[in-house]
Amino acid sequence: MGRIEIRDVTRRFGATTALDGVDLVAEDGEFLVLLGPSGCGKSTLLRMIAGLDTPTTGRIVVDGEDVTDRAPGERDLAVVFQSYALYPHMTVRRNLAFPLLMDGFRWWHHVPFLGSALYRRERSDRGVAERVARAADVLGITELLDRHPRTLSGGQRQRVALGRALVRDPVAFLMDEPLSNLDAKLRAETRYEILALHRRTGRTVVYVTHDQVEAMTMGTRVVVLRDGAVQQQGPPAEIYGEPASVFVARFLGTPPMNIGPGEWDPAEGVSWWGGLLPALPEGTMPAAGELLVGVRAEDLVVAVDTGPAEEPGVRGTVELHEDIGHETLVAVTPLAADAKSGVRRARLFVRHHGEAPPVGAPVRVTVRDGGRITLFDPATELRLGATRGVRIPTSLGR
Amino acid sequence: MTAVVTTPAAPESVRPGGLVARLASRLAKSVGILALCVVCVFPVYWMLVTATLPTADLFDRTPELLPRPGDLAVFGDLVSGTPMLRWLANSTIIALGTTVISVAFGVTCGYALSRTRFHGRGVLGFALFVTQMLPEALLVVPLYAVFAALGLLNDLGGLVIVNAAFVVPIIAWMIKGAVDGVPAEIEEAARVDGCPRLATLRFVVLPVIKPSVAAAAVLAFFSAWNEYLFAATFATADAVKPTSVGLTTFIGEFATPMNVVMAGSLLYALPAVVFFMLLQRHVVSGLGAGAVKG
Repeated sequence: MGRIEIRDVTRRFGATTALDGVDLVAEDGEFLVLLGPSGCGKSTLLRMIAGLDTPTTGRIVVDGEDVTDRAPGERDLAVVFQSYALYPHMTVRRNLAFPLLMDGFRWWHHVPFLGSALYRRERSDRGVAERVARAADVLGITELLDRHPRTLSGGQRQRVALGRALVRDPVAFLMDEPLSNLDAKLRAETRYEILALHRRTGRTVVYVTHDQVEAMTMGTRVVVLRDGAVQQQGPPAEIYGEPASVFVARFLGTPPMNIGPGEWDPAEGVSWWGGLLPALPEGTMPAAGELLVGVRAEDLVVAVDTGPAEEPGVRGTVELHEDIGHETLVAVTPLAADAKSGVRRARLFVRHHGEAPPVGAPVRVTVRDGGRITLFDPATELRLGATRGVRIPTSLGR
Repeated sequence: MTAVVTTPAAPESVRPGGLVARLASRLAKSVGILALCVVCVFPVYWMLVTATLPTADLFDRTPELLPRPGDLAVFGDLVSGTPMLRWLANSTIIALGTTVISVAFGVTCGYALSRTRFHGRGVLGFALFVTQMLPEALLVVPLYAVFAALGLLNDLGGLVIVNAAFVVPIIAWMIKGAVDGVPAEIEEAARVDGCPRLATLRFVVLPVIKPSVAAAAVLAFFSAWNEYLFAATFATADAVKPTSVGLTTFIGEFATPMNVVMAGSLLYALPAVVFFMLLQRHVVSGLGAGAVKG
């Protein structure tokens, strides 16, 4: 069991509101990712689930029990901190055993010279020793058990921190940006380790990150937070494919979604940066008019501009290439953007396979056949609908 | 001369005199440090020499610079003929009592100052600071009145209290600084692991700041061991005199047995040195151990 409910939680620090009426449920066994830029309240939310912070209003409920007023140690949740937060004066073994040893804590352990009795069960209690050994085995840190944290590398420390969480067999794991102190290669490896841990234990994981790649690859469900409020929640693919707002569309995806002013006409399609993108409506669509138009880089195609001006597509100039091996990211500055200066995000990113048009070449950018065009309300920046691009007949406009 | 040398990174090839100048500067520094050491150590050495000389020889025209280790009779006189042992015991009780009490209060106070938010925190911190600005001599008379009213004169406990009162603020600030340096996340980890607040202090924070606690203990011990003014004022009965006060009773109206005073001083210094050596290991051992990140 490990169903975590956040009921209308608000947290204020003086005049600033870190969280504003958040309602959220992490289902049992789910890998829930809280995603957002720094300062969006995601860590505050995690700390309140853990009991390290108290909501100003609202309740935290775990498995139907209100734990809002319970101490962190009484919630049966494990936390993995960004800085690992290992006890520097204890061996790895003792770090792992510590949560188990605290069950046997008695007041007289405070008496000088009797305190070490607290650690006696570390080896003498078979249950403790076994659980430590098992956790160490799962994470491959058995040979590190007698070392101190300061002698370990960042990746090893991270695994010890995971082990300390694992050893307790909690109802849920709470992880606060656990990978952000690791280098890129180690980060990818540890990502799989955490996923394997999740699969093995089947426990709920609430995972805080500002890294959209981690969110996309790890989460079974992603919650995007902004300014203390939930912007959107759903499976990663849904958040990527159907962003609820301009903010979500720009926050997820590398490069971010290309969004710019345009016009929607159900009969013709979308005009964007002064060029027409023929499209078919999909589902319920807004009425024709001006709005914000967004297209992902992989839904765009770019080709050297040869045809006449009235042919469909956004006309522009190749500004630069980013070659990442199997594909090239082509950045195009629309001609229309040059004309109206001050238009924001006046740059289109296109994922291109094969040889890309050279830098400085005049090009035409269109939506690939079946590529998704997302429409946003220009005032509220919320999503209005989506439409599919259609193949442009070569004869069109000639 | 030294100005040339202290400019860093002057390549030797460019400046042929560089090596010689550098050696000369190093030599000058060493000699200077050595001279300072001699100034520090010589009184102690002189104490040792004087203690082993018969009184008659002390006032020779040519002072003797070497001790006579064979002549230790004065220590026997000291132990059997004076309340020296009593005084040493009193000093020990006062110093250890002060150490225990001021470390216990200083650590908890410093921890609270560092980690908790409460009304009057700033005022308390400032008030602790202010106590250090007042000279002890200023407080002797009012404290005497208070202690007289409370019946704490000629009482070892009273001296422990007055010494601790002066040390606790310093320790509280020392410990606050040390706890500030401990990442809050490891305490949060302990709380999540089911560790109560006081146990977190005892089993997580204290071991990490052990060097500071050891330094605080040394500070408290020496402050009480060396204290003279309050002891001289509050402890007038022989039975409660600490060594610092006791030694001064040797200074007579007509004659002062210098060798007895010096031998007593030697005995007075010894336990303090031992205490420091016991704790010094902890002060140093922790210097590199606090690192959490990296």
